[in-house]
Amino acid sequence: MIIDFNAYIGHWPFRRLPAKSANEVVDLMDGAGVDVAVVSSLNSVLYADPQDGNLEIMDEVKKYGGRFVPLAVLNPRYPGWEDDLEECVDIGFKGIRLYPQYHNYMLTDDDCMKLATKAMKLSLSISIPVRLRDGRGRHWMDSARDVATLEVERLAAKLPNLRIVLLESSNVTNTALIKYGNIFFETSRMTSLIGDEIKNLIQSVGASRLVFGSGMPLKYISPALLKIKLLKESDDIKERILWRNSSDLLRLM
Amino acid sequence: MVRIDCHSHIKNKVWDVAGLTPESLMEAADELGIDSFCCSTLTFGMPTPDEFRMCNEVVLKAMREYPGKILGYCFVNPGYQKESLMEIEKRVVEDGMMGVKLYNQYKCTDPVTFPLVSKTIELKVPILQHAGYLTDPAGAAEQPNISNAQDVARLASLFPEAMIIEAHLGGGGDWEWALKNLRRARSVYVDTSGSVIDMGMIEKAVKILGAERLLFATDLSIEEGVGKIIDAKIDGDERRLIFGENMSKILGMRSR
Repeated sequence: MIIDFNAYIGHWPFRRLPAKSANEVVDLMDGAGVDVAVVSSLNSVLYADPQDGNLEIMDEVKKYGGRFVPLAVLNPRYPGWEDDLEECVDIGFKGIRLYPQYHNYMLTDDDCMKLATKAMKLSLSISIPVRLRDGRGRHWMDSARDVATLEVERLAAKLPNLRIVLLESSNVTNTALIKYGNIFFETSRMTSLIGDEIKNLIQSVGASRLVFGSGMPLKYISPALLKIKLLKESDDIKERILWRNSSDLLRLM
Repeated sequence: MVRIDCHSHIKNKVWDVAGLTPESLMEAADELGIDSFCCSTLTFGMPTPDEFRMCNEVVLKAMREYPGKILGYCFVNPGYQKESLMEIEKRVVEDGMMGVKLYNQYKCTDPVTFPLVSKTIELKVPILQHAGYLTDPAGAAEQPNISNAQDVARLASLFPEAMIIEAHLGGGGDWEWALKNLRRARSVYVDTSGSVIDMGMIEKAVKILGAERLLFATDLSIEEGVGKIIDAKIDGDERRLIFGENMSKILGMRSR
């Protein structure tokens, strides 16, 4: 069983993606042996009203039963997010994804704190991609920052019962983030065979705070899978990373 | 299917990258089916002849410990032209290194590099040219003399017999910009290494350059390097060329 916690459906305006629709992403999943993809709308990253993207992907993913777990993209600075969140929960979204770097706020701003508090009360996790692309080659209109460690740390400290999943995280083992039991780390950007970052992180925080993700269809899937496959850990630990931790976070079973 | 990693590194006492040892590379070779790693090791800034000689000694030691598995690039700083030429001659002819590694001390189109390029033509070895088109201003400021694909194409036009490899398609900023600039520079090869694994990258590189101009490589990103070639929707012949047949041909030039 494999659950990919870091997947997307939709269009990315700065580069052609080989797969955009749920149908195309399912083909990728089948090719890579991924059973379930936790997805959000890429369109919602740049739509003024991200709810339109949420509703678009719900229309798509509901045709595929349990293959997709949809997360709602919300912008706490845009009016009506409370209503949007309520609607998303009602129609089956299982968590929230935030893009402070594209929606122009800090995680500890008052608006975001209100949203995060609401998520916590609803027992919804919030996942936050550190970035959606490597900044070295960014498009001239895409000046989004990488989300800083300190920003995530402050959010985690203020809301210790909020479960935060840091997507595209790397080099976290020597940061303060590991102190916060409510922060989970997605593994696609960590080193495995050379550098041992995943192994070191397991030693620091235990295996229950790591989740597998690939970043598809923005990124190829096999690199992320190889990192877990080549990890010198027990099958039990690999299972936790590949699906059980994600399943627990999303209350899938 | 032969797999030759045309852009890899081992650490040295100055550049102490965690886990980047010959032993780790051998473990990766076993796990990922990589037959050989073409390695260099570097120091940064403006390395003196003593510094680049030290780097090459480290690589030579690894080559001797793992013959045929670790192949070596001779790293030099073109600013020390006389010493660089002597070092290339010694390392390639006497020590059996397979190529020359140039970093970012000078643009590759700076005339200071030209005698070195001529030397590689004479010795029939490739140049692995660190390159990138860094669109992030902070990143670009850190490497003011980094060569980009336009520079590499220009160098190739000046030295059509040179075997120039543009380094790390996935680690040199805007890779689509690089491909567009290299389309007509038909003597230039591109290595696929780097941590950037944008889906579609390899397919687009095959479409624009052709599979015969692409070389599998990992740089410091081993799973990324292998995984992107595995995932690419290309045919088996193209995958074989990229994984090792193209580099085998380059390495075979010396014996002709």
